[in-house]
Amino acid sequence: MSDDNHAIASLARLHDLLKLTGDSAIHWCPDRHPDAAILKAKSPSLWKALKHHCVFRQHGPDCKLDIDRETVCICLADHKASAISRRLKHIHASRTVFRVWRDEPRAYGESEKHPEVFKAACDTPDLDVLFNDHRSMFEKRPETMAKGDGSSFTSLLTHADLTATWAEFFERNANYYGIAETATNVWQAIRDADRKSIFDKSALLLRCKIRTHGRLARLRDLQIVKDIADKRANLADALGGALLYELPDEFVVALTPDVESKINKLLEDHLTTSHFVEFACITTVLGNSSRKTGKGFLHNFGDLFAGYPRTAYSDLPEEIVPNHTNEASSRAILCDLCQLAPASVVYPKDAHPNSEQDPISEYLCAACTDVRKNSVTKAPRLAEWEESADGEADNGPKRSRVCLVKVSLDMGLLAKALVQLFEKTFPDKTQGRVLGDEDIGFSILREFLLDYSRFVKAFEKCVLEMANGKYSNDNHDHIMDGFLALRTEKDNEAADIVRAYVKLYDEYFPKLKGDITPIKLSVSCSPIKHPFLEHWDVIDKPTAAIEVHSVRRARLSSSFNQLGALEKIRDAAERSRQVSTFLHRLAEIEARTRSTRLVRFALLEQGRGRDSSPPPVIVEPFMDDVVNITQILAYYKLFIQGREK
Amino acid sequence: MSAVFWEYELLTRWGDHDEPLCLGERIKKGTFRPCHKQAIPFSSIVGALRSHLGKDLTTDIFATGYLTGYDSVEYFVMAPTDAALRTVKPPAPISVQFLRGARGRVFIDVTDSQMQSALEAESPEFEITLGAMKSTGFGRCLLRRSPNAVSTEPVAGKLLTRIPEKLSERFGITEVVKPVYGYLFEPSDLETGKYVRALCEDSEVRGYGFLVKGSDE
Repeated sequence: MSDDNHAIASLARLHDLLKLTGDSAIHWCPDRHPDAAILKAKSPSLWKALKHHCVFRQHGPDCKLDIDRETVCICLADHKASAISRRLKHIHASRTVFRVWRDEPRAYGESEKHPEVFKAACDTPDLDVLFNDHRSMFEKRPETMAKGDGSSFTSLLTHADLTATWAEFFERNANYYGIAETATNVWQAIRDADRKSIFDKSALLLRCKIRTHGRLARLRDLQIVKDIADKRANLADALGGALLYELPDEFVVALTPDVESKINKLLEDHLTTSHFVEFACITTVLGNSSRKTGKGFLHNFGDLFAGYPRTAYSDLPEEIVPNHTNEASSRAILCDLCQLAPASVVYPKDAHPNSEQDPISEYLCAACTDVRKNSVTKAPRLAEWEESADGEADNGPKRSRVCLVKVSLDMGLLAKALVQLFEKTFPDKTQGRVLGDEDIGFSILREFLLDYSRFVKAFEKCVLEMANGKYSNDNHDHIMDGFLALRTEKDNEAADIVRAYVKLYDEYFPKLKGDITPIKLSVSCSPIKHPFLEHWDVIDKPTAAIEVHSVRRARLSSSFNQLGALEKIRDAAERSRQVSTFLHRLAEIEARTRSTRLVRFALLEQGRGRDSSPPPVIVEPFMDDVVNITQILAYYKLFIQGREK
Repeated sequence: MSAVFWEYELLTRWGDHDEPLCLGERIKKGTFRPCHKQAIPFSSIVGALRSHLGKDLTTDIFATGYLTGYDSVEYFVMAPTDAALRTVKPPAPISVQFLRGARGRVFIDVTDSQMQSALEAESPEFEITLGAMKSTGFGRCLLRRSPNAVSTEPVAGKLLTRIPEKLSERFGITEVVKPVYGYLFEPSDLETGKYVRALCEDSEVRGYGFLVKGSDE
């Protein structure tokens, strides 16, 4: 017999493998398969995971199972993962996963059957290989296709991942939840009442966002932002628990409630003054509804996504006094960069005593000095761009500008947008039933994140392939998923990036274009040597679906609809003369009078007897009340100027 | 005794004045000085008042405020010269961000009768020089006494200004729900001083309503 030691996550991920066979009887009790004995002998651990439905119920006289803690944990994990997957019941049943952000409801149809999966399970000793070989099937099949359930909104893949997460959680916290090591009597190992008592126990939901102060000065300081993903991973690892989802700078984890008292300390220990953590921490029952209040795990969705009521910083002293024996401290006292720690190093003099020195001295703390030192290896392209920006005029094309492109996702808004979409897509099914955030559950959010992750990767690929790969290789730096720094020549290069984004967005999220926009694109351009902190407002907290910013020049904030209207004037704006003067004048009137009526009067006057005036189509989006003149001017400056025909 | 505050309207545009204001952050990489756009930090306004009223460091002054708006963010590029060498001091130039048409509200604690007398001796409108770049001509502001009584009713919400954490009770802050930390300079004599931990704008607190933006606003 092969080595059968497998991590519980690998086993749990495959617990529903036999659903792929298309034979639900075999899924419910694998002992019904004629080759059951073969699989049981070859892979006893996997066998127990596949028999997760036989923990509570014996399916006939041939159904046998030796129950241990691992099996119980997988069984409980399946229950927990299903419970948060099937909130939206009796809405839509489908043979394939229905993704409300892109699919139209379709006929029930025939299901795919893959009976060969059982043989593959017998023949593949490596469980991760077995899972990856069938990954596409897991992804395509809904967790439930049953018409009675009517909730084919999550894939088997998402369910498998969630089950793996919860199984690890239960195994790690088995003592807290009272899950016995072994069972003496098979059918009394864990009775229904025991299961209920486990789900009546408490859990802690923790949502963390890792942030930086944003007072970054140089482009290479973006390394602090690059480090956020590592910090997030370290923190999530240190906390343990069930990771319900993660984004590059954010995660939600379920923990045992005893962690709450030490949460600040746990977070603080992983922070330096370059980063801080915002978090929301909610104690709840583990089950979906408490027997006392009727409310449970998912009813905390609203609070969890309402914001971050708490923060954790690294240990900050109450006061920072100058140390007159240290040059940096006596000159600046406080670190120039983070402004949260004592200055102790004159950079670059103290940090690189033997190298040719930058004439600009900065007074930094130890953590920020590390950031600067490490930027050469961790953000080498950004450092190289800065250094070469001065002397590049003589050789080749001038690429002295930088364009920062960031796609961000607001999970709180996403839950709201999905509720809105379900109500719009299934008005007859949701009528008279008020959907709440809790109806969405983590499984649909995770299902969405699968698509979001693909979208982000496709967008990054598209940008890097743009214009014969002009941003590929050394002309870009990947700051984190969905966040690129590009070396550019002109600001209007942002136009093509935005257009590519809109095209891909239409492909991935065609129905997610309502008044709530959880996904936002922010693009910010400036000379390479410009202090980064002026980009930060736009990059960190975008306010509209699409924000394009050229530092100190123009800023366009628009919805998809507004951008669509602006794109209609593109041809006319590129071909007409005097557009800039015309729009500047109107924007000035709008800014000074704050009246659209006066702008309309000015337009009427402009139109009288002046052949050289730009055509009326240029202000059509304004006349249709879709955008204001300032937006048209910003669009002109950022998308058109420099491309006139 | 309950705290008494007087409210002053802060203007950078009055009469034929149109003054630039730079409530300075630290200079970044020696070339760029950004500017606060909301908070009038405790240290800045107290320093300006101390200078105007001729009070030394032995007199306690408690004041703070915030900007209610500004017309534009502008930039001033300067190159400080080395007088001895008659050359530009490296690194140059320095780009200074400043506000044009800034306006705000300033609150001065007059619980102490000395402070009240000092302010009563002033006219209801007086000029101060606030913020950074004073020697270049920045920061002239008019403070105009507001006739409204300042309510010290506590409110929960987001702090609008920056105050040293150790003085938070002085500004009615009884609870800090979610701090946003920074540091403020505290002079100990004319030449030196230290930095003290401060609660910055957007900290979620329960404190005097005039310094807090309530959740309903």
